[in-house]
Amino acid sequence: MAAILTTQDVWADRRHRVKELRARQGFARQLLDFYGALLAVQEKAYVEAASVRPAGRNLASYCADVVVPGIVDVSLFAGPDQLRSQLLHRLETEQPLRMIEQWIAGDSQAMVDRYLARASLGPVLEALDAEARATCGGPRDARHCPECGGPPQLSYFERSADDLATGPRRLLCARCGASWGYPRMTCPGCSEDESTKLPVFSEYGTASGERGSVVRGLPADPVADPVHAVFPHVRIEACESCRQYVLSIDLATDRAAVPVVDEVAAIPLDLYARERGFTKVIPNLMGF
Amino acid sequence: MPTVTRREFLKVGVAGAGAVAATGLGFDIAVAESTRVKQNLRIAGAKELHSICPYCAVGCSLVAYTRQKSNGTTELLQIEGDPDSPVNEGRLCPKGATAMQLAISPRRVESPQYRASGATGWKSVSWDFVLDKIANNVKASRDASFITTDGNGSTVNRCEGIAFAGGAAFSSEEGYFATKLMRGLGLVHLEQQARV
Repeated sequence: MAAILTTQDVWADRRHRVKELRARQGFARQLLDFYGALLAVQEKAYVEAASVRPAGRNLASYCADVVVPGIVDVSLFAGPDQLRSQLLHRLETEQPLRMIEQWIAGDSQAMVDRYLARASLGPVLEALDAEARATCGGPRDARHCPECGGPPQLSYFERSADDLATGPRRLLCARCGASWGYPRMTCPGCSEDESTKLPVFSEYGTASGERGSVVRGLPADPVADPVHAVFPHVRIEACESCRQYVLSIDLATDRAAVPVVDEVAAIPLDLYARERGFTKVIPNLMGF
Repeated sequence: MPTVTRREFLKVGVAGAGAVAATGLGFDIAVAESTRVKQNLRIAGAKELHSICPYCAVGCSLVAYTRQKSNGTTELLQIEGDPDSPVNEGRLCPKGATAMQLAISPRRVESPQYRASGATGWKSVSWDFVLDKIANNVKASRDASFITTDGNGSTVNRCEGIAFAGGAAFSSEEGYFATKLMRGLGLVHLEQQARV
């Protein structure tokens, strides 16, 4: 029970962060408003799945029967016109069960199919244990989730209790939300580890040296010009070998950040990476 | 009818494909607003490189964050502990954590400093001057303090007027070379600073 309560805090954190970013990053308001509405349905699905605990072999049918109706409702109610029309059209020609099975198997899908499958299955997999997640398809290598075999949605640096220590890098699974440790200077898309082929794009003024501090974990020099970065804690980690990228969230720079929410809101960085010819390892739930 | 070059055609095609992909689920307002924000972002590419702390024998791994400037020089932006290193697991001591000052501190001393006997202040001198000065002082001290036999009449051929302390960041080869050189001069007081 204690574990479930702790995980429910995760949903509260997500909701709170959506509100925070909505106020701070007006450009992402349309997206965050919808994501906030979706979170309420997903949290309900999470709580229900934690109580029912569907077996791994019934995951797809459980989601199709129990979770999909709520996700469809909120999407039709709060989603943009294009999502609504695409969803209605697809539901006339394809069974949600099939979409979820494809997502579980790791097959390629149309964006709207993947959206519905991800939004429905995600909270259920989060609520279940590793045994249920193990029924999902996908490679179990360093670049994929060790629990469900899903691809990495994003990268983040853990918070560190010590100002002079750098937290380890972790990747967050796009399918089940589990995270796993991954070498900092290695591409999550192709394992390239030649650092000269791994450009990092971030806003000017966000590195410690630019903030007037020679120590990364310590506050900036109060005399130096303050940094007015939109994304002081988010950067693009790209790879020139496979031309893929992930967004990386630094929890040491912004301790209130919630990686899965901050990544959704960082569309300008996605657009910047795309402009330079990079493709995200996997688009996020909102299709970016 | 306006003519469209192949380059212009491809440019429009790529931009169009990007816009379609960006608005896949119809978040057009967010994309339009974000495009405006993106145009005002000051973003630059940087590289992360592995390095080793130069200060002590622990050999903590560093990650140096560098950016290529428009004039071709490399700007050092950040140094931090490497979380993947089994030696320090991302941690640095206060001295190592400020390693960036070695490169960027405006107070960094960039030439040897010399204070002559009886002088009240330091002055900047050349490396040639310093190396000659050290060589002369070593020769003078060695000549003055070299003994061939000890109190019992045993042959010792040693220099008792000079002591040597090796730096903590010495490699094995540097340590071997320094010991060989000092023993060659007859020094017996050799020490190595192996910790912070």
